[in-house]
Amino acid sequence: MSYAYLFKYIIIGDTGVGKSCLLLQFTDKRFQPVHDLTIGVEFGARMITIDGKQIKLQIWDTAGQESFRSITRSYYRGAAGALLVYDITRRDTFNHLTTWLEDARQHSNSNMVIMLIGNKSDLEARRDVKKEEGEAFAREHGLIFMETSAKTAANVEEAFINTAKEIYQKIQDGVFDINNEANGIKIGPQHSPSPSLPSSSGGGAQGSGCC
Amino acid sequence: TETDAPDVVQYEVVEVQSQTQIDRQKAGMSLQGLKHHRQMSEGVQSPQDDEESDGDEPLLSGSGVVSKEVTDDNLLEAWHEVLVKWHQNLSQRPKQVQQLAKKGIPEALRGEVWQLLAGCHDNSELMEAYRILITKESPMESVIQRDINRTFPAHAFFKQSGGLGQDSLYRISKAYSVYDEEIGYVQGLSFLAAALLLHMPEEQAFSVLVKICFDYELRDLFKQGFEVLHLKFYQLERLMQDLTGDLYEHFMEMGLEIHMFASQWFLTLFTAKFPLFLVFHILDLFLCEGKDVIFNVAIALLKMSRKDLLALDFEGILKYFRVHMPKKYRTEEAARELMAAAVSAKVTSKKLKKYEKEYITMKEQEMQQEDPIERMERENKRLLEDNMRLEQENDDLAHELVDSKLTLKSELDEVQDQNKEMKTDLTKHKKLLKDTQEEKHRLEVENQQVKEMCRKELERLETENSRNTVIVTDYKQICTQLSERLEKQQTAHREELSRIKILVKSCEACSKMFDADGKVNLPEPKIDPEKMNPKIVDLQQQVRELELELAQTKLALVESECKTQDLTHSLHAAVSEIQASKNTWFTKTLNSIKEVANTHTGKKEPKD
Repeated sequence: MSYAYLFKYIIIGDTGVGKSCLLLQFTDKRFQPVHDLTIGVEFGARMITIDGKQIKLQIWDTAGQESFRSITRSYYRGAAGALLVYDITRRDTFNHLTTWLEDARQHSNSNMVIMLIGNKSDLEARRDVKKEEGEAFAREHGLIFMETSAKTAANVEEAFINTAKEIYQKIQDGVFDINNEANGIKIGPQHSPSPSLPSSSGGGAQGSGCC
Repeated sequence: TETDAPDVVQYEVVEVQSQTQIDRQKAGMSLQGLKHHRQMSEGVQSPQDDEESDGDEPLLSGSGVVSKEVTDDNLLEAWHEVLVKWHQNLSQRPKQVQQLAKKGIPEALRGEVWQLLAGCHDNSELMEAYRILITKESPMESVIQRDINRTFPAHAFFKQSGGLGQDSLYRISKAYSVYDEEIGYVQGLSFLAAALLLHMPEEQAFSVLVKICFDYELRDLFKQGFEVLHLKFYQLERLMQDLTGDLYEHFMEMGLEIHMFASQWFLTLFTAKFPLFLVFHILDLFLCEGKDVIFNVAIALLKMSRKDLLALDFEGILKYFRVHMPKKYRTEEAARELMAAAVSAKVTSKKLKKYEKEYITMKEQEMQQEDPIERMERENKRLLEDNMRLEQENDDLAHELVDSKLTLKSELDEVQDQNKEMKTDLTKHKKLLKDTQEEKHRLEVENQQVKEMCRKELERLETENSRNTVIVTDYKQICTQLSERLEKQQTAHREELSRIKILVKSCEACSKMFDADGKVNLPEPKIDPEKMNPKIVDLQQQVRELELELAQTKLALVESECKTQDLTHSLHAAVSEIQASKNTWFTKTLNSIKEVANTHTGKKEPKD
């Protein structure tokens, strides 16, 4: 299916906050209580529509354990958006946000849109981090913020789509250099000056991300 | 363990299997081992519902059927022979093992053979260590706990939260994190541990896990920011280029890189996505041939799916790796075909070494070609990071130092307080000792004095006693003298009487008045005392007085004797009392003796 733009995302955050479940809910519209631990990276994709335009989202879901950061770091560089996820029932995952943010800012392009997500909002009874705290953190660091539930799907669409809207807006504002694929944005085939885009621009940007 | 008839072969398997059971029993885990076997055969059924579906849903880890039944009798016989030989010399792996392992180890024998292949035949130390390790706390406990129900969720043995399988997996993962301080717990190891736990008890699975991590160098991948893993990616890329050139080209075109799909292959030894039949077969080969087998399997996987992959775009390829490739090996035939391809893949250690050299050279060149400013900036950043880390460490240490100083200070204070208290105590006790010594000395002196007093008193009493004896003797003498005098006077008196009688008789006038016996015959002679012969009256008076005196003297004599006896008794008592004790009541006794003596003397004196 053709698309106007392709945005690359990365999902980051502590282990067990629900990164893979958010991705699965977004791409497959289902919640899987029993699933495999993510080792290295996983990948998902979905088409969305913004402003009447088809936008393809390619999402890298990363392993949360700190030692894996050296692997997941290479995925920052080609990402236009990042979902930084914490678990509202675990204070420590909120406390680690600063280091995640430092890591993301350090290894990504400066325009990367970061969405802060407080996941597991369905577990209100076990809440350990107030919504206001998430909002305050987002405000302080210039992030967008939402509380989601991968289980009930609450705000999951919105989280991914709002991030895309923000990126789209930045493109409209001319902030993003859309010709540099290292920014995590690709113009779709119909916008492309050359019809053989995949072969001409396939490796370059990501190549720099590897090894 | 007889091998005479081919019919017996079926029984032999049971025999070899039971050897593993013996090991389990040795490890004190027979119950768990048996249970886990039962669980295993149950678990074999469950993931089948997904078996036929070719939907988009990926396979869960730990799915698939692995039968323990072996239909190839020749294979069993061959394994039996090898195992007998192997058990005769555990350190020497029989040559046939390699050939047999390539075809896949019979499921029933895997537990035993894997341990032998990994070199765990003398692993009692590790097993002992394990029993201690599981009691220790790990800072990774919560992470491990969270990962346990995300490991082999398709397998019945690990499905249940808080079940035997999850408990074992938790313990083994925690123990490893404590055992390997540098690496700790890394996500991914739990899959390997789970695969091992399906074949052997915890301690033995732990031993094999440790061997795989150290001897098979799996842990190297996790070290220093996964540097070795990146080398592996490069080696695999070069192998692809060499062995599946068109696929490599296609991947390049699609912008697909090795790290996007292969990290799991290296980090979990293919245990995380593929059906168990294949997983176990890969482990057979890995344990037999070593770590480079991962490349053989990776190349075989790519080759077998070459056509499919060539037809797919970026997203399609990634989905294929995630969903379709693992599902492709749900049948034993496909898995066997893959393993055969893996064994015959032209992956040589020579090639791998060459690529490694290339990689190192490339890295060095990259470093050199880099803009010196950029390099320095990076270096600077690294140094800054190091600095920050060191500062943090420094802070921590300073904090620790302050803490320990505080602790020491408070401990010192406490000790000083104690010291002061003890000093006070000591002074008090010294004083007490001095007092006691003085008291003792005083008592000794007093004792001496009392003794002296007693001695003197005794002497005095003895003297008194002897004086009394003398007095008594004197009295006796006086009494005798008095008696004699009395007798003399009586005699004199009788003589005088008879002389008077004669005189009376000779007197006419008077004789009438007396009878023959000399009795007065007169009817009441009126004797005028004043007219009586004053001499007689006087004598009579004298006789009465003498008689009275005699009686008194006798009485006094008796009394004296009694007193003397009393005194002697008292004396004896006093002497024994003195010897027995020197306490205060002795003084009383002494006083009473004194009193007695005094009263005695007091009574004596007026009589004297």
